[in-house]
Amino acid sequence: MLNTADTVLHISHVTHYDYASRVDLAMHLLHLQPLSRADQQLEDFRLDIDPPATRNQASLDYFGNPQHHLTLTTPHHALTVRAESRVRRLAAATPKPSASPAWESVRAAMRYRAGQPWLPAAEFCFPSAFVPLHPAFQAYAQLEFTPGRPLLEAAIGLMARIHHEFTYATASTDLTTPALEAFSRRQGVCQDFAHIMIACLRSLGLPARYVSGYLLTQPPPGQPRLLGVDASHAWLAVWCPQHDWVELDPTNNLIAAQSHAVIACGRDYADVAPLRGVIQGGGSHTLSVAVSVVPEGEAVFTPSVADQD
Amino acid sequence: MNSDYAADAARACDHFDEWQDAHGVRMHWRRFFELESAVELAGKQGDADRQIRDNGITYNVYADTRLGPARPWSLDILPFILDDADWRHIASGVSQRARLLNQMLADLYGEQTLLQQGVLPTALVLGHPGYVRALKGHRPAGGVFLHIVAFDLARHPNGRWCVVSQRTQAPSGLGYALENRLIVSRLFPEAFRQLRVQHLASSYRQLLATLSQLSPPTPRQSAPRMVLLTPGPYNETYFEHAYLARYLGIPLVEGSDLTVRGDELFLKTLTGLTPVQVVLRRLDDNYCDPLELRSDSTLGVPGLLQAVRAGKVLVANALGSSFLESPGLHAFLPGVSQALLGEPLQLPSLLSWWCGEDAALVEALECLPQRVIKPTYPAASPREHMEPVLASQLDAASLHAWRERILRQPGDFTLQENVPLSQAPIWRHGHIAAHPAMLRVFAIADGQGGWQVMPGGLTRVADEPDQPVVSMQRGGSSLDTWVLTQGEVDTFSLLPGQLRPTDLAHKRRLVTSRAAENLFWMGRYAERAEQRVRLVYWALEWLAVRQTDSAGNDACLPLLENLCRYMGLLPVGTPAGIGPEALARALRIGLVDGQAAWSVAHTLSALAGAAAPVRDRLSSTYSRLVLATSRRFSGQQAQRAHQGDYSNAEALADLEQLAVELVAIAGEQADHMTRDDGWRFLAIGRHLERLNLLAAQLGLGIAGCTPPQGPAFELLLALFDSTLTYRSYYQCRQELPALLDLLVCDANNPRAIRSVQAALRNELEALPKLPGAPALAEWLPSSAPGLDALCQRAPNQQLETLRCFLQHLDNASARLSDEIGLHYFNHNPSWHPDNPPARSSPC
Repeated sequence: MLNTADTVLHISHVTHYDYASRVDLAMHLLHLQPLSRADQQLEDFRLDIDPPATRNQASLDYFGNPQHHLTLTTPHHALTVRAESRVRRLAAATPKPSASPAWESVRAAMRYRAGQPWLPAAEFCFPSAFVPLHPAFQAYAQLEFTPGRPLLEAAIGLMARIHHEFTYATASTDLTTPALEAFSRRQGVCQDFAHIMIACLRSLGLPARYVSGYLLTQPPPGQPRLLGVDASHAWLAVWCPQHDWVELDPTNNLIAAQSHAVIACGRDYADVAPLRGVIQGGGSHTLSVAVSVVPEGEAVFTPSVADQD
Repeated sequence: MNSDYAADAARACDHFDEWQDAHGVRMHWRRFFELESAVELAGKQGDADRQIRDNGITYNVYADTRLGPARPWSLDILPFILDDADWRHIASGVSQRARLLNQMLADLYGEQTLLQQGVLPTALVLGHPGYVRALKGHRPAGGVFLHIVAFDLARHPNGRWCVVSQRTQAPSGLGYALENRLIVSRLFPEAFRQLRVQHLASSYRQLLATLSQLSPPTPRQSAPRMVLLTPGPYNETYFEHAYLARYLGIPLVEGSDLTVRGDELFLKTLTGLTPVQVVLRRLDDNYCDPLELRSDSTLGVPGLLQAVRAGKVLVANALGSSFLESPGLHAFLPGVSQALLGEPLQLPSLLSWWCGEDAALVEALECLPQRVIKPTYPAASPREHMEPVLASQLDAASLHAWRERILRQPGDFTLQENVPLSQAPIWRHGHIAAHPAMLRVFAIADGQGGWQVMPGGLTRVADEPDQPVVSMQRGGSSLDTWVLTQGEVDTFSLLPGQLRPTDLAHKRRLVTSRAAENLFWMGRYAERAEQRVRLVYWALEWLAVRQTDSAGNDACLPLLENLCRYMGLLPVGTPAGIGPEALARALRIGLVDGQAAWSVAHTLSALAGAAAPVRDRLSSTYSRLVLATSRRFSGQQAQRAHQGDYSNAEALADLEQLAVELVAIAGEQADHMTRDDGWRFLAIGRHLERLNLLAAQLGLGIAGCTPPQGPAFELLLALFDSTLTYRSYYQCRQELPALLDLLVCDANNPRAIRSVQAALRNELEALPKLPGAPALAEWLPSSAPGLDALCQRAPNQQLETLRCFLQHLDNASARLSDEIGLHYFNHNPSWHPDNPPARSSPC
């Protein structure tokens, strides 16, 4: 993998709800604005809400991710949230897995010892809403985390194992499918793969966190890039003393780099869900999401209505 | 009277004995029985039980006692007595602990030095599901996180007190303690006075004063509006929430009574949105805001956290305080006390070992059989749930299994020493017996960094003398707690004194929007049930006896089927023109299937469901009638279902019984309720439903080209409950003008559409006016066409004027229901001055 040049990505993320009956009052909490950090800069961001929000407050959440609190008091039957970002991913050095410390030493550093200062990463060793701990995860992780093996080498091994042994199947799970169920069925989507690998690492006492973001995909050879056909993506990060957080994408068996744009990091999906809300009224709803990730300067093809069916 | 006691005490000689010491019966108990006669105790227990029943003091053992009776609160009449010296020791230790816990929250939501210096393990703070990350960095008013803290104390066999557990998020017991006091102090007035028992009222006054002082600023320096937030009637201590709210003089509200607009919190009432500055909560942290905390909570207030962070509302206790309840923390508190206060901890905890620390794990497992195994984290965490286990009761195999389980996830478990509780004297079956007791005491913040420890509390005793655990859930009982003093007794009282005329002038009762909404739906469901019963009854009776050759039958059957379909009495997907036998069978099956939305039983259970949350507004006969009717009918129908398809005669008998009960419900509503704004919504619901159903049913009745005749004519009269009146006017003649006069125009017929319309209009006009809301009565047509016009036929032979009028009423009632919801229940009118909605008008 080439890590030599910056990548600039234009991202559009459109979420649309149609409600069966009128919504009188709605509050939504959004994690749609990509964060800025050492290896990623947010160069531009626009958020359009239809109907317009009565109130839109931007702030940083506990983990330092940008978030927006929306309140809508105009009665409505549909809601569209359009987030447009321009993100610059900076070139970064690829970690050397074999040079990382033995995984047991990282686990030991996370354990509490009276009077010893803590490491903030320890916060990511505990079970969380979407990531329960279970002996099955631990047993699976131990296939790679053999005694004395360098942490990153083992973690990359685990990522590859999940990638090869699990089936990516879009209709197989939804957000309420617990990680354990997806694990025993050996299939799921990117969220499940991330949650499962996080559960494996935490079951060993290692810190791991969830990353929500976008992935630049390549259109099939000879075809133009289509807009709105991508999806938001999820992967995870494991904490390693020299490198801080190293991001691994078990869905694609990749160390996340310039093709990955980060929106937010948290303990699991619940902390960084792109959009969560409470509405009054509304009845049932249908949801559609359209995501486009386009490298700067590339020509795109906008499908017309006739092309979409 | 000592024989039983001696036996109990002997069985438990390693306990501390609250009744006697080496020199015999303790001084305060000797004094007590000099002042009160032991002979009268049996009668007094009867008095106490009666008072508990009469006052409706309850404790729900299970969370799902939906409509069933709650269990009466259990109180033993002898008080738990603490002398001056004992109390001074407890009060000083408790006060220090409360101060320490508050400081811990300040540190852990702020600098986190306790974590940075390794005084506390991260697992017990950030690893606990009760730590609310969204409030990191928020410092509540005055730096006060905890306003009420409760501690469960046990007396060690050596006579020393120690802390078993601490309650920091929404401690229960302040209401029950007060209720116990009111009953017991009246049973033993002499002893209460002469033993110089300290009163409790000042502590409750302190609580109100503290909340008031820490309240966010109010407009024009008015007194802050406080509410008590309850999870609702299904909570085990709901009685206490209602009791405490009444005693403190603040409204009892549920999450759906409140709404956040902007960053401010409001109470939804019939007179509009009222700002709220202080929330005294009995709802657990994670349920308080579905937007940022548990998204599956229907009990909270979306946006509450935003309002808290903006400093616009004080929540007591602060959200995010529940992690301090973990037993895992106890072992660390002496160190925390040194680190934060620079003082040794005065009141020790039970010896505790958090197994997540390697050194503690080894030590704890050495004596596993003597320990109590407790979960470090609460039930609602992503971990396997468990109840505390007494290791001494385990056999070798289970002990081994537990050891393995602990070693797998050591941090999930905390071991505690198993201390035999002290034995308190209680009056049982004509004797004084000795039962294990645990004391719950309460500390109230004074808002300036100090604490007032309430001199008294809630003592709980086990049901059996040798039961090692004390729990109200497991059949335990409670005692009033007397703290004796050698000083002055503070006789301040918060109980209402005599009413003055000015108090009476302001007696208009606050009606929350939620109560009004439930009452509105009660009215609608009660009316719907009546209409459904009337239609099914008529249908089953007629279908059984109808003669196929008589005139008009052919027209009546499809009409009947249409009406049944409109009234939702046929399962979805029932084909059209199913024939009389199939129709009768479908209706009978519909009666039986209580789960199905098309059944009568379903409407009744919806009625009961709307009544349950407003029970406190209904007379007890009324709510009993509603709940009992629903339960009886469903039970009866379930039994019928068990038999299989049952006879028409049986169905008719059941419906007749139900019709009588529904009339009784209507009578209660009309005659036995105070006509306040709440009642008005009940009446509006009823009239609105009636208008809607009658207009639609009549519309179906006249839909054909030929006017209704024969059985169809009778059917319409029956649906308007006007058969007898019609007969007395017109005998057996079937004339269209006569029919329409009685069903639409007759001002003397309470079910004539015009009368229903007038009654509805009257109630709508009496509603409180809301700013920005249009006059709701304007949605109704201002007048009805005259009889001549109604009977007029259009060229296509249709009764066009009547049809339009009925259609207009149908639209208007739907619109009206919507508008009532928007303005009075949701407080979010779609109506804007620049964008008035199109009003449906007669065609």
